[in-house]
Amino acid sequence: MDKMINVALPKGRLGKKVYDMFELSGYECPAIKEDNRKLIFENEEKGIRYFWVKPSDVTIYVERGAADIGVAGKDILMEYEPDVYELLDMNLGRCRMAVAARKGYRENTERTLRVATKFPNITRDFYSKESRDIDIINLHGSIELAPILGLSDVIVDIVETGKTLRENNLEVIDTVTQISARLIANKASFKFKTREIEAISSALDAEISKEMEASIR
Amino acid sequence: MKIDRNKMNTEEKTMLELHALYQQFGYSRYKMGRFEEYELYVRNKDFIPSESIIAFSDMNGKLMALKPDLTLSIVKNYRYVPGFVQKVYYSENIYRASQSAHSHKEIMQTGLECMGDIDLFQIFEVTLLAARSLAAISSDYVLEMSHMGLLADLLHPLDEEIRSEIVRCIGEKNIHGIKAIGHAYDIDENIIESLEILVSTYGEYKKVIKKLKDLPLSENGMAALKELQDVCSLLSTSKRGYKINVDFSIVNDMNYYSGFVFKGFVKGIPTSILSGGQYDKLMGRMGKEGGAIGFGVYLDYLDRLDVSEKEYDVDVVFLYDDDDDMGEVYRAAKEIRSGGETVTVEKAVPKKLVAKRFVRLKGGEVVTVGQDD
Repeated sequence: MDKMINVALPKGRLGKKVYDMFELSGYECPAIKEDNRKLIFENEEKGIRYFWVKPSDVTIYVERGAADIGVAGKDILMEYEPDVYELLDMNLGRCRMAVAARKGYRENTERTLRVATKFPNITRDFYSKESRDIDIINLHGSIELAPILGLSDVIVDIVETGKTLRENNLEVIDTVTQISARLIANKASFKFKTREIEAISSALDAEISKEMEASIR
Repeated sequence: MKIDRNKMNTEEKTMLELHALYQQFGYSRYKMGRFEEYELYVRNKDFIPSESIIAFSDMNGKLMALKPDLTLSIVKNYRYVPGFVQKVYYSENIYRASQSAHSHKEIMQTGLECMGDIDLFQIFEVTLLAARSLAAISSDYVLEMSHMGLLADLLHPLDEEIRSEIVRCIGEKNIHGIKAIGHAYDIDENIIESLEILVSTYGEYKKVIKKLKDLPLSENGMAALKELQDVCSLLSTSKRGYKINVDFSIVNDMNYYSGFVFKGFVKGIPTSILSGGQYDKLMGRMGKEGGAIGFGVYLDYLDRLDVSEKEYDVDVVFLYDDDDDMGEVYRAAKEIRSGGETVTVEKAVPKKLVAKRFVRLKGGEVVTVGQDD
């Protein structure tokens, strides 16, 4: 169907929460909860089609128009700066991007700071605002190991509860930015499926407000 | 030789149509070289969307660049004559870095510039040509318009750094981001509220302009809104029914663009393929008198529209062997070609080649020896 809306959801825990939010907003697709290996799920009546992709790939699917809309973390949006609309803060997956180091670490400003991270662009941006000379060590996982083994002085990474940091004798020394999941849309799709995307966005917005009110109470 | 348009792809067809269209409106072709002095781009760094430029030193040691942009070169060579406008169009390759592919790309760009004492009529005509350029590509298009004057008016009281953060959010239709900035920098609530209205109001021009008249605009802002309204209503009088929307998320750098900005989309291509606006401030920065407006169409995206897979590589494969008379083979193949079919003459059928039919000479006659079902 022409006006079907393709939605790229991030695989994993956050993705399930995101789908639940779509379901509560009236865009359910029961097939998605079945235990199988299908990649695409659609509810033709509601005009919606979901697919799971790696969280860092959501922006690629949306920017290149394979998905009309998608949900991606602000961390991914800041790192890759895709040319998309950012329509809503979904208020899910709240955490922060932070600088962490071994407990009791004192920065030596006389030499270049070595920073290990999965987010080189965000890191470069953050330190260039502080005019600090840094050496970025781009890792793809287990960032916490870097300062323990002396690979880096500090790390820039996502901190949710801080449990991993504590267990490895690390602590947060600075916050880079707050992170949460955002509803994004392809700019061209938005022009040709305006009404459909607006309807989804405002239904989600209503649901988010409801949940926020409930959590305050 | 007659050229069959059906055999051209959308990119080729569009280029020819755009050239004819621009000529019809009195634009003359402006042919440029591939290179430009590197310094030009350093001085106007923010005007070019691409950060990485391919540079090299020429024979006498001057640092040159492969052009990442054409407007700057045209403006550089422009001479102002009071009371007149100069109208030029171009079709050239430009070289830009593709962020996602981490490499440089050659992009075919066709566009036009109207420079000099431009007035409302010239602005209207350029906008009309932008809409007609899109219509030449697909009937399913949208031209989105905005006016930087209105935005500048609303953002006027803010610091430059905050302004550019907000402009980025406006480009993303990111209302929650604007609110967060407002909160972080303690910005007047009226400004944030106005920006919210600006971002969330888009679509058909009459509806949008009516709503925006309630904004707390100064004289400059009102003048910008009036200009937008005048151009839109001129466009709407046309019988062609141009698909024009007003959307303030179309933003360009405020240091260069002062008035109208627009972007064009066609269905089936995930990004804007036309982009332009009124860049009086750039003219000023480059020491030129007069104003200017123009746009560029990125033709290399158009291959996305040729989705249908090619059924045949060639209509006819003409087979021959050493015993055949070469002159006869040539004449027989020519005869088929004159009927409008494409013919390749081969000794054997090339691997993977798909053709409508296979023929060869038999006793002086062309006979079909195979056919694709």
